[in-house]
Parts: sequence; C-alpha cells; structure tokens
Amino acid sequence: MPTPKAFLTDELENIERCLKEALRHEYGADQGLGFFDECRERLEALRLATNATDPGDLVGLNELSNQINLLSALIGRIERSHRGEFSWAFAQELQRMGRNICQDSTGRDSAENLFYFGSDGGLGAYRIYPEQHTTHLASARIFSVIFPRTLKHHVLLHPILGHELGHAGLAVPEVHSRAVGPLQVLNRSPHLVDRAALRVWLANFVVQDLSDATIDQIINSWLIEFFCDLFGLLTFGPSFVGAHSTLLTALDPSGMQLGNSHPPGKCRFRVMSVALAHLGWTSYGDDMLRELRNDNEVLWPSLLDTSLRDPIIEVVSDQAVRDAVDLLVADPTQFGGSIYALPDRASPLELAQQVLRRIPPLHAQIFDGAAVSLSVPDFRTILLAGWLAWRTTEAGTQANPISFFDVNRLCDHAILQSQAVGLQVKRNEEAVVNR
Amino acid sequence: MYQAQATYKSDPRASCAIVAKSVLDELQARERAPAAKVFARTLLRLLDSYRFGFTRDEPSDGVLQFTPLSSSVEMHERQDEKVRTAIERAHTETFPDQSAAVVVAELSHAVRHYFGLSNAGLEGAGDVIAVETLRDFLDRLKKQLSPSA
Repeated sequence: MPTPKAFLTDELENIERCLKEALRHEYGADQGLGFFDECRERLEALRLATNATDPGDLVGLNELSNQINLLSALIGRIERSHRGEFSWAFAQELQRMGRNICQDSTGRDSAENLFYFGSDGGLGAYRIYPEQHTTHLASARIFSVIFPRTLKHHVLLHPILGHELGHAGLAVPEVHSRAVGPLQVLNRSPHLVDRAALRVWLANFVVQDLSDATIDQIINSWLIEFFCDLFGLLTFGPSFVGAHSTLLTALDPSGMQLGNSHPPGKCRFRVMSVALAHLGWTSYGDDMLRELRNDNEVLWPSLLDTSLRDPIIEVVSDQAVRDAVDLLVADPTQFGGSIYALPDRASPLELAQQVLRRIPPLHAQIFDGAAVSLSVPDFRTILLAGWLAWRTTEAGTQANPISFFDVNRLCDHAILQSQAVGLQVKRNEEAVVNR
Repeated sequence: MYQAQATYKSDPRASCAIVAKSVLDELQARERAPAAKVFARTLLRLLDSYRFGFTRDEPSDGVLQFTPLSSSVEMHERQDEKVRTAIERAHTETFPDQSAAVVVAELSHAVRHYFGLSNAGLEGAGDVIAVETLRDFLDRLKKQLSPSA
C-alpha cells in the first residue's frame, strides 16, 4: 500500500496529466494559457513542497493533500466551463472590472488576478467565489464567476454581479482596507450598532432566542451585504437596481425573508432607494423614462412601495447609507476606477431608442453612404439603455412591443459589437502612431 | 449538480507553515526553482494580510442564496487568527521597535529582491535587508506555526 507521501506524489502526476488534457477543451484562447501557466506553477510548487516534507510530518502532508485536492478541483472546474453557456461578451467586461477592483500591490510583478467563468443551474447561481484562503499556494488569485445557465443572454440581470464584485474585492486585504470606513459607517446604524440593538429589532419578526454568536454573525454578514449592494450600484450604475429588484423579488416576493447571511429584501430596496436619491440618479432615470414613454411613470416603481417607508424597514439608517455612499465616491480611483459615472442623458436616450427599433444599441453614424463613425459606449450605459427600453415597451402602448428576452439579446449583441468596434478603433489609432 | 466551489478546505496555519518552510528552503538552495515564485508570492499576500489587519478569510453566500434565520452557527477555531498572531510574534521578535507597515514593506522588498520579482512601485523602499534577517523572521514564523507552539 502506498504511503501518504507516495500517494500524494502519484496524485501530482495524475494532476499533470489532467492539466494537459484540460487545455484541449473549449475555453477560449485568450484565457487558456493564463490558467495553464498558473496551474502548472502551483503544481510545481506543490511538488517541491511534497518532496521536501518528511514522510512522518502528518500535519504537513495533510495540508498538502488539501492543497492538491483544491488544485485538482480547480482544474476540473475550468475543464467543465463552456463559453456557450454564458454571455462571454459580458464576462469579458466583468473580467476587466474585476481585475481593476481586485488589483493589489502583489500584482505589480505581472501575477494578475485571473477570472474563470462558468454556469450553474438555478437563479441563485449568480456568484463570484474568491479562492478560500490567502495562504493558498498560488502566484495569481483565481476568482470563479458563475452565471445561471438559463440566463445566458440576460445581460440586464447580470449587473447583480456588481454585488459579488464587492465580495471579491473584500477578499483582497488591500482592497478590504478601503472598505473599512464605509462598513464602520453602516455599523453605526442604531439597529446594527450592537447585539442588544439588533435583538430588539429582530423581536419584531422572530420569537426564537438567538445566541450571541448568531447575532454577531448576522451583524457582520448583513453589513457586508449592504456594503456589497452599494458597491454594485456604484460600479454598475442604475441598471444594478433593475437586476437587484427583479431577482430579489422573484426569489422572495414578500421581501421579508430573514437569513443569517442576508437581510430582508425590503431593507435592501430601501437602501437602494436612499442611495439613488442621494446620488441624484432617481430624477436622472425618471426624466429619461418620461421622455421615452410620454407619461409620468418612474424608472424603478418597486422603490416607491409605501411599505419601504415603514421605519421598521430602516435597519440601516438612511443617514448611514448617505455617509457610506459619500465615502465610496470620495475617491473615484480607489476601486480601480470602476465607479460608474453617469453619461450625458443624450447617450442612453439615443441607445434606448435604438433598442426600441430592434437595433443593437451602439453609437454609429454613416456619412455619404460610405464613411462610418463609430464610438464605443460604456457597456453599463448599454445596460441602462436596455432597462429604459424595456420599461418603455413594457407599458404595452407600442404597436410592436419587444419581449424582455429580445431586449436582452439586443444589449448582449451591442456589448459584443462594441468590443469589436473598440478593437478596430484601437488598431486605427496604433496605425496612425506607427505611420 | 455541477459544483462550482470545491468542498475541500485548507488549514491556513498548516499552509502558512509550508510557505515559511518552502521560502526558507529556497533561500538556502544554490539555485532557485522556477516554482519558488509561487511560495514568494504567497508570502507577499500573507504579509499584506498582516499589514492590513485582515483576518476574515471566509467565503460568503451568493447574493441570491437565502438561508433561513437559525441559531446554528458553525463554531470553529479561527486558524486565520492564529496565522496573524504567529506573524505578529515573528515580527516583534525580529524587528522589536518597528511598526507592522515598515516591517511588511522591508520584508516584501526583500522577498521580491531575493526571488527576482519586480519591485515596481517600491523604488523608494531603500536598501534590501540582509538575507539572514529574512531567514530569522521566517525561522521564527515557522516555529510559531509548529503544532507544538
């Protein structure tokens, strides 16, 4: 029977064989090499460490076994990722944002963060998994981004991953340190300031006696969830609200489900409502929608629900939300420059009108039937335009309304096309420089 | 069902001990193995965690994952706290009068230098500490992380 060390050594050989085979699967030429190199380096490091470990060091061998299993599982996940199961145009934009947000000083030597994409069943699949521990033997951090398989083209719902980008950032110590201020501000909310305060608030809903450890976990988790909601809003812009309210309401129509890890939906909607108003984004969206619909409708009606004004829903104080937002936007460069800046109203309005004409929303002008002028909108502005178009067509007053699926497809195409245009614009600029 | 996240767990304390030992081995080796950079970069991340007082190294639930309210909180020993304490002790024993920020900057600079990693952004970091000092720190860290400590 092989000894533990001999078995681990053999398993490392098996992983090497799997790693070579994994590259034969469809993953995307731009990403495959990065993962292969990272996994190969980890494998070599584990081999070195295993060889240097005394066969009698059971603690060391046990941990090496853990790390070998983690590497094996990682390669298995990458192998099973197929581009045909999610919007890879959106994934590419998310990867760019994620790399900027999660960058830290250890990335200065070109060991960049890697983002792996996959899909899973169920609406609750949306997630970004940072690697579990800082102590993993790794050159680069790998973040696993999961989309729901059924929502392959539903890019208008994907901004919910802005919330998950918040979690991904919090897993990086240097980025986490920039979130401490906003988290402390949220913590000062009267209902979340300590165990006794939360117990009083929870007594409105539950009768069970919760242990101190549970209360501590709830306060900590809820603060992070509220922070990540604000992070999603600020990084994705108004389209985050559409995704957030649609998905949360679909999964919890009452909006009052309490969980150890997540606060009730209604409390989260109130936070969104307060933050939107504080940023001046409420009137921005409403004005544009009224122009498109020619009525008095607002962009996010769910945030007008009168029940959100009930003081009991204010588990995070409105003032704490405003203060946290101020801290987050104070330095637009602090999260890799990923905070969304609202564009001039003309841009999303023009793009929304294109969606309503069933054209992928891009700024394009053709002159004299030949020369084409193209500019690349921020993909988040395309998403905002998609929501404006959907809220317009949803009114049912148009002769030929577009389905939610088709609005999503058009925006998905536009993001893809904008990336192609961006590449061409870059090539043209490089050609001018090299001339 | 396709499982996005592995259920395998790692023990931060044991893992940190492997990193400290491996970096020490590589510092003593006549020629560095190419994979030695993995140990060096992992050590840089550990030092960063210490510098920023970061100990919550746990995954969260997905944004739409509802787990009903319950009192069953998993109680487990905080191994990541132990890693932090071990680094803190190694710091105060090796550099008794220096702040964590200064120590981490000096150690990071040295790790980058001795492992051939780019020092971009650290141009003003001054002289590199002697390799013996880096070894002292790692030796103390390793001892702090041993199961008997």
